[in-house]
Amino acid sequence: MTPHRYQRIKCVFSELCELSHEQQVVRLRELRSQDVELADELSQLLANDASPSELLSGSALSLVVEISNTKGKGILEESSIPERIGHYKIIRKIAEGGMAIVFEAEQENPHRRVALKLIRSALPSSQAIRRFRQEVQVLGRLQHPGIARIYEAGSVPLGHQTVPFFAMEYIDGVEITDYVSSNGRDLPTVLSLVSKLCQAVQHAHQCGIIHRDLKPGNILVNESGRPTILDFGIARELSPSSRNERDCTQAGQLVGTISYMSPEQINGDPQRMNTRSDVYALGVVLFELLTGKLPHDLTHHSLTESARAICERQPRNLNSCERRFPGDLERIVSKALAKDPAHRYASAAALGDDVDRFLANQPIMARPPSTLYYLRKVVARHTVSATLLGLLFLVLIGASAGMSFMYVRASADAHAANQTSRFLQQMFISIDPERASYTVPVRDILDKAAQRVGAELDDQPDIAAQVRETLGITYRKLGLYEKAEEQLRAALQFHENSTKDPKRISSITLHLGNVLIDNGNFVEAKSMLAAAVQVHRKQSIPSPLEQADALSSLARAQMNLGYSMDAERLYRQALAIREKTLGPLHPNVAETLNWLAITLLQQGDFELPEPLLRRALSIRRDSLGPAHPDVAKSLNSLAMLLYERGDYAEAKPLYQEGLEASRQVFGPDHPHVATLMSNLGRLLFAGGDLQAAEQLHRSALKMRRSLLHQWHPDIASSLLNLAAVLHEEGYADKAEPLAYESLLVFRHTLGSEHPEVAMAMDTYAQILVEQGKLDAASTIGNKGLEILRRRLPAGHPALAYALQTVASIDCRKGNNESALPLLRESLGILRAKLTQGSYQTAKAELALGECLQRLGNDQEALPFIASAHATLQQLEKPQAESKKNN
Amino acid sequence: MSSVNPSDFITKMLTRINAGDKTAASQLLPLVYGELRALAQNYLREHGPTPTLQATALVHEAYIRLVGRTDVVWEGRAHFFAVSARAMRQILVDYARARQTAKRGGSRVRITTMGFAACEPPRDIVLLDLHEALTRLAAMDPRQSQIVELRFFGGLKMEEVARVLGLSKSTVEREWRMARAWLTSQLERNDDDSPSIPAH
Repeated sequence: MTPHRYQRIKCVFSELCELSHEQQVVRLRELRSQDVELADELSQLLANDASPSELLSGSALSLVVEISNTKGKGILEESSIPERIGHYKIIRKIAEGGMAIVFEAEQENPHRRVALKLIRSALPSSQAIRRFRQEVQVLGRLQHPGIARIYEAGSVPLGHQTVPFFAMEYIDGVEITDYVSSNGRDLPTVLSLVSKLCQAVQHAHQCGIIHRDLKPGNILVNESGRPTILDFGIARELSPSSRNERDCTQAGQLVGTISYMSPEQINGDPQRMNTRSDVYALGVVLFELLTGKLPHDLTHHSLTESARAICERQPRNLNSCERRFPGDLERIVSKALAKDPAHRYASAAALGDDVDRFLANQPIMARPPSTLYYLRKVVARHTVSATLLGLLFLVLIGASAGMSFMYVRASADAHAANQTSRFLQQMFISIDPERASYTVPVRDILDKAAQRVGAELDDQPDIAAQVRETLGITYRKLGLYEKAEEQLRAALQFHENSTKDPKRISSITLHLGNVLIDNGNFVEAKSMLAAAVQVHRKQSIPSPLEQADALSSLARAQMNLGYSMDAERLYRQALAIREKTLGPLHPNVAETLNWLAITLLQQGDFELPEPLLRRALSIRRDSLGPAHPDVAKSLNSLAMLLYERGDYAEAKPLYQEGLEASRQVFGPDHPHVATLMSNLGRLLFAGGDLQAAEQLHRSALKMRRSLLHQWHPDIASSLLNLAAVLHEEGYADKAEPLAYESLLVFRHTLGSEHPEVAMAMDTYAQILVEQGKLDAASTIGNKGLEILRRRLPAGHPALAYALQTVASIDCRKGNNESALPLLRESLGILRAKLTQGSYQTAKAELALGECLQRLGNDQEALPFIASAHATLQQLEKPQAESKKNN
Repeated sequence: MSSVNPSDFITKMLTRINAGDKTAASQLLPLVYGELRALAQNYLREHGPTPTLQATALVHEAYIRLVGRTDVVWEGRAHFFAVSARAMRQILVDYARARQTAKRGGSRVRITTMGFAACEPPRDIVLLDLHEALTRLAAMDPRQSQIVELRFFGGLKMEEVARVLGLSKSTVEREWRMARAWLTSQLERNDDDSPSIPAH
């Protein structure tokens, strides 16, 4: 019933209540002639008013007293266990509840043992049946080795009635806690069990089902060590289709067992309950399996106190229990147990992945927001022990520089590792809690450490170098490339002069080389990385994976220098090594595939990259889970391909999602975020949404100017993008200085022969044409075209655009004859490369058609012009509609 | 980490509810829930089910135990009653479920017995059906639902309900009549239908 309808009924009901019985009858008769249903409803209500439900005349508590005295009597009493039910032979009773009873039974065909569950009551309520049916539905949708399967559901005649039942997989196993403790809490056993559980829970989540009552009592492990989740009795569906059904677990009911309940579950807040509530429960289970204790000590606590402890207090430290656990594990557990669901692992798969990574000794995933979150907690609490801070340091360093942390962990020199962490830990302790705000600390702490490392570790240069290396890698993750470069150079210098340890030198060199690329210093990066590749080639004991790292780093430098053929060759070498060493389905293989595809894209090849990108995406999805940032990267690369092909409508949502995801991961100000803004801006520009494009390019430029040094090529890109938009908007005068500055910056860092410089020259020339400076435009346009012809493979779209620019200058000068072949060549390239009906192709057709017209060749011109107009009209339509909707 | 004194916490929450902060009630709920539940359990354990057990008495005792003083303005206490009624509702619903859930342990295999006794007399079901009907009522007429909650689960008298909600007694009585009539049809309807699972 709608609230509106109810209020209408209420109105008439109040009116009727004031009337005598006779008057009521008259009024009802009157109503019936207008609205039969309303009249029926009201007569029912009046009848109820005269004899209301007995229940409502008392108070609820008397009911408690009453019900606590009654005992249920239904069918299937103890004494009368039947030998057979339907085609099942009953072996024994396993469990019994108020509504249902469960037997171990044997099915003959196919021959198997099952757990048979039946409604036992004589007169099951609609709710009871609904729940029973819900469990059947839920289990029926789940098909996973980690979840007890349902075999059959139906009704069987029993006694005088028909009873609903279902048969499910019989699990012969022990409770997971018993299993683990009888195995001496062996760490790999615990972790691989939890990883399997995560997979099963992830499956349920993907089917749209939250378990909501995960706890050891619901998890059995069989002899071969396989865990199975039971009991989807209070599971809740996520899908909108189930919203019409009455939600079986209303807000405010504390269901489940409190120790495993997440804060949002305890608060009975159904809006906030989602798959992450199960992640929390998995975190508690993990904690319990590791330590034998619960994360919150709830012994001697009333339910109230327990609820408050879970909602308000920090869980105890994993390492406060008897055993010592590595910091990474501590971090995994705390992330799963975060009070705010937003700070938890996004999915059960993500938790499982980190557990797997830990098992495989790989750096674990974590993101800056959660680091900030922990740090904010410290700062907010003021009083915090040094141990906790030490752990926070591990969180921070692990979060921002997994690689380096792994090195620290794996380092043979445990003493140095300790010293390093102690030094950085000091940095945490010295933060003034009164002044620090949570938005700055990570950077502040690093800056402080960087300032003091020289003076305070003067007598321990080896530790200073290690701290610097860690700082450098952390700075790089935060997008602070110059500071990263400074620290890594210092660390490298120390090792080159003192230890001459080839392993460390090679590792730091790779980091530094990549930072140089980030910093736009491609030339130095290339020579440094080329040397590193040589070192690896000459090594007596080859370490193929490190060699692949060096190769792909060098490839990245070459790609940025515009040598995409060379980059392709290097990436292919790295790919071959990684595939051979790691197998074809490893995330690192996916990463190389992705880069290779981007290199091919840079070569103007729009066919080959697609299968590579799709393969990379599927590897990443399978191995990392759908929510992993690398999956977002893959999607973004696919969007780049779509954009280059001219499929703007398809690329746009992917770019937008990518931008949002990267803001989540890197925070609002980070070079990666600026790059994604630029990408989206270029797409909007190409699609004709100039206003939005301008805004994005301005923000990206501003961000890059604040984060990068003034000669960084990304700043030149931003300037150029903005100039192109302003030019298209008709502001050639505003565009010109920006394009000029862009050209200067590009030339400064990339030299004058770089394809990107040539593309900038093309844009600059177009602006000059607009301003009527035809001679200057002609010189620059032709020079740019020359460079592109030399540096790019034939048929590259950038060539097509430069051809159009030069042709347009010729046309303006009246040299239609010389423009014509250029325009034909340009259109030829675009038609071959871009999707049919793209804006760029239409523009090229129009230019060619108009040129032909000027040459008096109307017959050939008209089809081009007609096709261009058709395309442009087609493109305007959706845009006009979307504007209307906005 | 020092724990907050519960009475300070409750006073603070009550003040916040008074100031119109709706989230404060949900923070208070677990606390009141726990206290009421413990009290009810004690009563039942010590005295057995006696007719003297009254919801209002429990709420008052919980109030004294939790807040510890009686000089809080009546508005503050009114909010406490409202929260208590909600907590009582939860407790009773939980009670009904918990008792009906299988006694676990012993067996190596554990399977849900999600349900409730639907046996004779089906008081559990009635209570749970009422709980559901009340939730539906809240969607159409939150005030009526709250009146029922305060009266039925909180054990408050009409005047007290009126005071808690800041309404006139006659309004409360009118609303109660309608709510009672509507809930009666809901409860009766549940007795009638008994769908069954179609066989495969």
